[in-house]
This record gives sequence, structure tokens and C-alpha cells, in this order.
Amino acid sequence: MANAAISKPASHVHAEDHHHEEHHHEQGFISKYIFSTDHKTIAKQFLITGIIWAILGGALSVLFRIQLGYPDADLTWMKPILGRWLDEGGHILPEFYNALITMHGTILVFFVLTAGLSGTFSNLLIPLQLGARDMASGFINMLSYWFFFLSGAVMLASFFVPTGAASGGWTMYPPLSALAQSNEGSGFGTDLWITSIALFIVSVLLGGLNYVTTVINLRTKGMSIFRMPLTIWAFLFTAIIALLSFPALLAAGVLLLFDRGMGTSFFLSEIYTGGEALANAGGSPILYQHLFWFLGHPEVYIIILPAMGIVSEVLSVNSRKPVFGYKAMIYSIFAITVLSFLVWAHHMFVTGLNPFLGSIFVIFTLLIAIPSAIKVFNWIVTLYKGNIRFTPAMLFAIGFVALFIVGGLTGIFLGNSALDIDLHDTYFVVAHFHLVMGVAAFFGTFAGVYHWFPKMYGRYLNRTLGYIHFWITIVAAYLIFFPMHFMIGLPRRYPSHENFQFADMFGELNSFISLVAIISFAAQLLFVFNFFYSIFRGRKVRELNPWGATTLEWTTPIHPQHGNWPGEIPHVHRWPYDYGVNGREFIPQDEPEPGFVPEPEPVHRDPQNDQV
Amino acid sequence: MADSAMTAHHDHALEQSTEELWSGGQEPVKASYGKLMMWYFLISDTFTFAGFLIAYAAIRFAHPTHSAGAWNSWPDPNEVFSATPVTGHANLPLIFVTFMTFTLIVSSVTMVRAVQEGTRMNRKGVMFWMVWTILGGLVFVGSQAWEWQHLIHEGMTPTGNPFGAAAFGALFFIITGFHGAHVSVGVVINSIVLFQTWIGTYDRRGHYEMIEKVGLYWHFVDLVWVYVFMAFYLL
Amino acid sequence: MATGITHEESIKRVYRVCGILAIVTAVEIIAALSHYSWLGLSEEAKVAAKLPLNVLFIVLSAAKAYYIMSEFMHLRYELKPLTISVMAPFLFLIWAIIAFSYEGVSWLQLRTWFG
Repeated sequence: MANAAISKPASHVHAEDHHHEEHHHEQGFISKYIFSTDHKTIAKQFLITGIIWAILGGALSVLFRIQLGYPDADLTWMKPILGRWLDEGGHILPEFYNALITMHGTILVFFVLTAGLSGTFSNLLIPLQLGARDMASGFINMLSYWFFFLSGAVMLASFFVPTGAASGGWTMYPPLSALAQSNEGSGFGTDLWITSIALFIVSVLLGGLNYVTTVINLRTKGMSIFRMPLTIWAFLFTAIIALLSFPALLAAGVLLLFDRGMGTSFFLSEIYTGGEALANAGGSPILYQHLFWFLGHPEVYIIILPAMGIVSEVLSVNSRKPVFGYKAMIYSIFAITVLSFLVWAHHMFVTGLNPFLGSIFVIFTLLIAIPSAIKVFNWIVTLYKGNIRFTPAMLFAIGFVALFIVGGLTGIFLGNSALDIDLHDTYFVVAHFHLVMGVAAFFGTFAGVYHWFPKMYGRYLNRTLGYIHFWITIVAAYLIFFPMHFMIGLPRRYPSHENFQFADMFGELNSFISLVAIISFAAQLLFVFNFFYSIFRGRKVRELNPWGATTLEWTTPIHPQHGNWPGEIPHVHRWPYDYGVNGREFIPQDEPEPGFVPEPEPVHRDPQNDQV
Repeated sequence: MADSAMTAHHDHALEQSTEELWSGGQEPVKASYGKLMMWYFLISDTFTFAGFLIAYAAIRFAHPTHSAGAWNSWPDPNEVFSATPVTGHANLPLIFVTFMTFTLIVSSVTMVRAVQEGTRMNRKGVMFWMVWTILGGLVFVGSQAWEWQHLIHEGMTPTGNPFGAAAFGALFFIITGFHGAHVSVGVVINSIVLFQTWIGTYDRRGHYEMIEKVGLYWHFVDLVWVYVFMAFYLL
Repeated sequence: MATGITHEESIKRVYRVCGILAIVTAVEIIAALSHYSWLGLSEEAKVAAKLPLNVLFIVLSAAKAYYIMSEFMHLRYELKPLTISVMAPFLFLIWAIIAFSYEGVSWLQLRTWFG
């Protein structure tokens, strides 16, 4: 870049500006807010869309928890909304129950915890923490959000088709999902589901390409890869996993569409429906499961890794201590990434999977506990003897660690194929994945929102409401999901257990769990109120670096504009965890070492004029 | 030697240590973000095709090997693919697909030539070689279309075929269809880029990197064909 | 594009790889056609030859992939980290291919034994 004439030996020099010419031109409303290419705006779009989907997905869970906990409840007063999905007694029809759990899973796993989590924080933090003016391609970033929006619109539409939303479980296994005549929800609703997911996959891939190339190419001067905050490492590997695993789901979806519409037999063979034999031969439903879980397992790491990155950051900032074992954390993320591609069939132990093959998957599954455990250990040591500030963000981060331990431990039980014979498809599994995904990952998200809300909106979220939100949620999480571990043998995905006498003993427990779930949902609505209220009326941020953090995002103005830094981008001189060093509480990454003298700019001499 | 800015870039890179390259404020692998995006998109797309081909492997292994007349055995490619557009009813196994494969390989070669001319800012040279690349792509897609209609004429559908297991037809149409769609998209993109070259966009820009990026996509298409060809015609 | 080699040398390398690809493809086709009945091989010979032929096809296709990626896609002239980041993901496919193929064989066995 031509900045030849040097006026003073500045300690900060231009980082290489790339393709952005739009620093100063006026933007219309549409290009500024709707089709924005600014990563901060797109992050907010992902966040708010994610919040809306979370409310919907959570509401669905309230409905089916009512069915499970209070099967005799009369919901006739909900007829205006639920209409024909209620029977005469005002009870939820089993068909609808299946659609509820399917949509709950689909919405929360994909729209909230993948798009809403990665989309928000990768977009917000990657440029800001790396010292870049924006993502590598703002245009592709914009497309990524709008494909997500489109996929959501298609999924929402599926609720309103005559046969209703897809009801084959969020995993959409054939033959149930392959035979439209088998189930109401397997009709057009499933076609819409597959289409929605295909659009969603496009969104994820576009986003992932941006995140990876931005991390590689757009770091500011001095930001070597081992000076990147752990958030960035987490987002980088998340994007890599996404790029390599979502294609398998795309392939599975395409083949499923062909089985549904063209009579092919990829996933069907020797099958009877309605008493008649179908002509399909040669395929296997287990093939779908293999393809699905080839995505499905990496997917859960796509969900948890960003939360882990956020937690590392929040714990460190609020303990005023460096993260313990920075490099071990990075290698653990790398190990988790690699191993996540090797373990998928542990979701399939009882399908009739070849048992020898299954045993290999057991070994890999147990291995993946090791890097996860290393991370947990490092977080705990980070807290040890720290000068802890119990902000709501910090509470959620600490809560994440606790919940991840409990949820992760039961994963080891499930990873043993012999034990899994008894545990598969029971509430033990439901407890496991809700604790790690449905709560821990959410806690990571909440920590991130509470921590970076000041950066996004220039205001603070209300602390009191934050404490209430935290305490109700964490107590509720344990009250809801811990007892589920002890519901031995209770099968999941059943609208009702009334035909099983042994299930009677869980009746009161189920009612209790449903009650707590409703209260917990209300607490989340409190958070939503806090969120939207604080955007407009929250206490204003008056200082650049309210949390006293070392990372670069806090060197931008309180309301960063397009291009993030009004002048030059800071250079980086140290790693992001200089807390409590040399008697100082923290040293920002862009502060030079004492006595640092910047390299002189290469002087361009014009041989004819010999002037600079 | 007619070295471009890219060569100079590489020479400079050789003097820089790895540590310096990765210290921020520069491209650590001397590749623009656009080129990196194309590479990683291609890897991702490879995994999509891999998903299809690995499904093919699972299904293929689940079928008995070819035996004449067995309804469920895997067809013999020599029997299935034995016609060409110009030889009527003559039995010429695998000849037509050989022609198709060579066409795609040659169009990859012409694509590389286009990229090479681009590094010398030779607009006319780029256009010459891009035209041949596009023609190669069109011939390939046209041939694939002929192959499809011939097989359909012989009675091959996604749900059955006279040669053996029904899955063969289903997988053949889906996988070659996906590949053919990628080739077609490539032809469209190459045509757009040819037009841009003609009106001087890349001369004004100062580099022909776009040719390099679409070239990567075109070679990817060729590479996938190597494996599709192997799966259905050889194995 | 490549350090230190002339434009003419670059062109020669491309045509050389073109020739290699053409020859390898021709070898593959001839090998595949050997399975055809005009060669008059006995049924037993054909069955016995199938496995080594398939191994040959896989190896030759991998060779073609290597040449296309290294020369046409220019990977051998790129900096190492880029090359590694492109090639490393393929390792994940190895386990996937093994597991899926093993499963396919298992399905055939189950169908044969249990009708």
C-alpha cells in the first residue's frame, strides 16, 4: 500500500488493506441493514434470528412436555393455534407429538446452535479479534445469512402444509421418511424439511469458507497464529469440521429425495407397508444412518467448540488469569476435530451394524474423551486462585464447565456398545445430549452474549436480570435432566407411556420435570426481554474496554463503524493472555514491548528524482 | 523470462521464513482469499461426491458380483456401455466413454494453457485457449446427454435396468447427473469469464487470477470424472 | 507462476502430463476390455483376474489424480501449508471408505445367509 511519506515513527502501521473501498460512501437502508455486508450487522442478524428460532423451538418443547408430564391436560383452549392437531379431549395427537419433537430437534440443533451460535460469534469476533476490517468477502457473508433465512422460511412453511411438518425425528431415518404414505408427516412436510436443510447446508458452507480464509489471510501484523485468542482457534476448527461434514448430509438428503420421489432403493429393501410388499430392493436404511451420522457426529462438535472457545475467553478475562495450557487447548481442539470424523457409528450400535466394526468405533469414541477432559482440566486450573469477577457472563461460563463434565461423563457410558444396548433410545440418551448440547452449549452462548453485548450494542445487559436468568436456568437444567438418567429403560420418542406398566413409577417425576421446564422457558423469555430492552434502554457503555480484556475487539470505538478501526489497524505484540504480568492487571495485545522500535517503512526511491 | 508478479511473489516468499510468513499482515501461503476459498470449496464439494461414491461402494458390495441373467447381480460395464453415436448397433465396449474421458482431459490441458497465457497478461492467448476449453466442456456434456438417452432407450431407469441390479441405474444417473451438472455450471462460468476477458476486465484489473480460480474448478470437474469413470466403467 | 522455470518449460510440462494421463487412461481401458469375452478368457480366469484388475484401476486412478492435482492445479508449486491443508482432509475419507465397504459386505452376507 502506498503510504510512503512517514511523518513519525509510529508504533502502529497499516495492516494490508484489502478490497474495501466503501469506507465513506453513504449506504441506503437496504444495503446497510437488510443486505448488509458488514460482519457486525450480519452477526446481529444471525443472533436475532437464532433467538427467534430458540423461542419457537423452546415453545415446541413446552408443548410436548405438557403431553409427557400432564397427559390428561385439556388443551382445547389452544385450538385456535393447534387446531386439528388436538383430539376431542384436547390432547395432543401422537402424530403431532412426533412433529413437535422432530421440529424441536431440527430447529435447535441446526438453526439455533449451529447458525445462531457459530454465525453470530464467528462473524462478530473473527475480524475484530484478528485486526481485520471485515471478513474476506462481505458479499459471501451476506449470502450466508440470507440462505439461512431462506432455509428457515421453508422450514416454517412446513408447519402449515395440510399433512403437517416432518415427523420422522430430527434424524429423519428411512424407511419412515422415505415412504410418504407411512406417516402424515412423511408427506410434503418431509420434502420441505430436506429442501430447508439443503439450503441451510449452503449457508453453512458459505460461512465456513469465509471464516477459514479470513483467519488465514487477514490477521493484522504481529498476529501470528499462536497469538490468536482461543475463540478464533475454536471458530476456525468449527468451520473446517463444517466444510468437511455437511456434504455427507447433502448427499444423504439427495438420495432420500430420490427414494421418496423416484422410486429408487438407496435406503429401502425388502419392505412391506400397509400389508403390501414394495418393489424396492438392494439398498439399506443403515446406509442413510451412516451418511447422516457422518455429519451428525461432527455436528455436535460444531455446536460445542464455539461454546468452548467463548468459555475459554470469558473465564480468562474474569479470572484475571491467562488460560492454563494455551497450546494444549489448541492441540485438544485439533484432536477433537480429527477424532470427530472417526466416531460416527456410535449412534448406530443397535441398528444391526456389524459388531466388529462397532468395536472399532467404541475405541475411537472413548479416545475423544481425552482431549475434552484436558480442556476441562485447563479451565478449572484457569479458575484456581483467580481474582474472579462473578458477572453473569462468568457464571454462565463456569456453569458450562460444570454441565459439560456431567454431560460428558454419561457420554462415556453411551460410548460402550455393550452398555448402549440397554441405554440407546432411552431417556438416558436424552439426558446426556441435553446436558451437553441443550444446556452447556447454550450456557456458552449466553456467556458470549452477556460478554460481548457491550461490543455489539454499546450498552450492557441488565445484571440483575442476568443473575436471575442464570440461577433459574442452571437449577432448572439439573432438575429437568438429571432425573432422566434414572428413568431406566424408558423409551424416548413415545408420545405416551401409558401402555407400559413399569413407566407408571415415572409419572410424578415426568410431571415435575414438565413443570420445571415451563418455569425454565419463562426464564429464557426473561432473557429475551432483557436482550431487546437493553438494546434500546440498557446502561450505556462509557469506556472502551469495560471488562479489562487484552483482545483487539476492545480497541475499536464503542460503536465500531464499517471498517472497525477509524484509523490504522493496531499491530499485535503479544499473546492474548497477559493477565497479572509485571504487576499489571492486564496488557492489551496491541501494546508494544518497552523499548520497541518499529521497523522503518521500506522507502521507495524514485531513481529519477531521488525523492521519497 | 516473462515472469509475472506472481513469480516475483514466490521468489520473495522463498526468502521468508515460515515464522515470518505467518506473523500476520500478509498472505502466509501467497494465495489470495479468493483462491483459498476456491480450493476449500472444492475440497468440500469433493466430500459431497465422496458421500455419493462411498454410498455407491456400500451398495455395490451389498450386491453379488456379475453373473449373466441374475436380476440382482451388478451389471458388467462392458455389456452396458457398448454403443457410440456413430456406429449404429456395433458392439464397441467402453469406446465412447474413452472418447469422453479424453475430451475432458484435453479440455483441462487447454484450461491450463489459458491460465499460463493469463500470467503473461496475453488477452488474446487466454481467449483462444478458453474457447477450446468451453468447446471441450460442451462436447462432454453433449456426449453425456447422448449416453443417457441411449441407456434410457435400452431400458435403464432409476428403478430398473435389463443388465442387472436396479441400483446400478439409480446410482449411475444420480452421480453422472451431479457431475454433468457441475460440468455445465463450469461451462457457463467459463463463458462468463471468456466474455470478461474479451472486454478487458482482467487487463484493467492487472491480473488474470480469475482464470486461475475457474481453472481450479475445471480441473476439479475433471478429477471427479476420473473417479466416476473408474467406479462405473472400470470396476 | 512457478519459480525459476521459463514459460516454454511450463508448457512442456503440461503436455507431458497430458501424455501421461492419456497413456494411463489407455492402459485402464485395455485392462478393462480384457475382461470382455472377445479375448476368450475362461470364466474362472475372469473371476480370478477381477480383484487384481480392480486394484490396478484404483492405483492408476490415484496416479491420474496425483498428476492432475500437482501439475494442472499447480499444487506442487504452491507453498507447503496450502498443499497440506488441501490433502489432509482426504485422510478422513479412508476410514469412511473402509467402514462403508465393510458394512456393504456385511449386508450381502446377512441377506445371503438369512434370505
